[in-house]
Amino acid sequence: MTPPAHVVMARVVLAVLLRETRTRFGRYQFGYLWAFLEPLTHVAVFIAVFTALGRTTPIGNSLALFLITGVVPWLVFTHTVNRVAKAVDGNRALLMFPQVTRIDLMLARIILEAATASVVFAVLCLLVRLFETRFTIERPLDVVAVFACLIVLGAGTGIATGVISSVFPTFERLFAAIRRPLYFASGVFFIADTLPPEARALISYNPLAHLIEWLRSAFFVGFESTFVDRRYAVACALIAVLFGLAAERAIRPAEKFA
Amino acid sequence: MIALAAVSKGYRTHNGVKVILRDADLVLPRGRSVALMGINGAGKSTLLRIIAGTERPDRGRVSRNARISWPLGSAGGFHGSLSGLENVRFIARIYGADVRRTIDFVADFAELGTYFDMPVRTYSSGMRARLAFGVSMAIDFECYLVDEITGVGDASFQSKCRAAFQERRSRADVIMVSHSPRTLKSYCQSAVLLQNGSLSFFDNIDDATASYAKGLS
Repeated sequence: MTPPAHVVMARVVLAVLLRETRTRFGRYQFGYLWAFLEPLTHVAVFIAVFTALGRTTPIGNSLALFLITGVVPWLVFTHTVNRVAKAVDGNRALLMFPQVTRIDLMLARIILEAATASVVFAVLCLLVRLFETRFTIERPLDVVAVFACLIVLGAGTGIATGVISSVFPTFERLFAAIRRPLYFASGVFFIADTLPPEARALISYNPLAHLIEWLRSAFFVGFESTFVDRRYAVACALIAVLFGLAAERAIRPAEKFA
Repeated sequence: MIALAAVSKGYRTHNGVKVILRDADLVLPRGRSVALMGINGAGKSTLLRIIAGTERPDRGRVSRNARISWPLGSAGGFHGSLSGLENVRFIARIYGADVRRTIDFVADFAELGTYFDMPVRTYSSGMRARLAFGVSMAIDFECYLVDEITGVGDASFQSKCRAAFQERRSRADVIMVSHSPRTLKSYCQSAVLLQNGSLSFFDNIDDATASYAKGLS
């Protein structure tokens, strides 16, 4: 007879995950390589700017590593938000199958983004270690915790964005507009201690800024951020995912298939 | 057995709510193949999707204790940018079927030739229907929900479909929507008439046809 619900869900998520891997990376030449080229482009641009301004890294002794610990978390967050927000639209045809739910489609993308993020970050760090500067990570478990938070925050924001945009299509544009200035308020290429107090107070509302500082505190031996509020970051991630799931739940009965 | 208990379903449209089902009850016994009949726009395809579980009713309960297919039609279910083969692989996975065997069966049954490796968006609607039909035949369902696809394809493909269903008639039933009375009669013994939001079951399809004709005149 019909297998238990969790078996069906596992099957569906795995099947969607496998096909998403094809559609996420298979469409372009260089496929998987692009996942590495994108952060490397950001890092290269900032290295050029820093060098032109005659500045060096504010912490540690590798500018590349400093930038990687800012650019990668940023990209992990924005990619997760975008991919999860469009998970349902991009796979609407699959909802024809009764066992495929909207949550399955989103979960598969979340898992794929988490896996991609881990591999990209590990490989980029390894490249720095092999070819530039040897380093040790001060608190590796904290690094894992930060990436878990980034995925949860991105997933929650993505689910909410997807649901809200299905009711108000303009919301997605609005969110895209917020994202650009957010890049400059997340500490991708600076640390909070170098900011004037007003700016510092302003970005303290941004959970991404906390996560990036947290990552750097955990990563660089001898750097302890005076800015980071770990509890605030975790709370934001949890609230985002609860809000997203609640919104999803409230909208879903009206459109499983439409 | 498939049972609908006090099921209601409506759609919001620009001029008010369009009612498809209003507190409708229905029991479909095993071993009968059933035609869904009703005028255009009555909601036959919606009813099929509710039976499948693709769409939720606004109120009421649907119970199924058979392995039911998804609604087979030429429209949905396929990812346009993936090939027929990749789509088949996906469907085999979500139903827990043997992937290799399913692919071999569909390659043989659907007769898509080199198109099997081309993106589904390049398919004609007939080819999509053949693909959908082929996969569903590769997976053992106890009840096939068919939405207007048996009429597609040439005569030889149609007779192939008929033969495939004939071969599994002892273990599988069909619930079918079609505009062709001849197609319906060749597959189904019984019928359900969907009229003004309510459902009536006719053990003999001819009685349903007669009642349907009377309603129209």
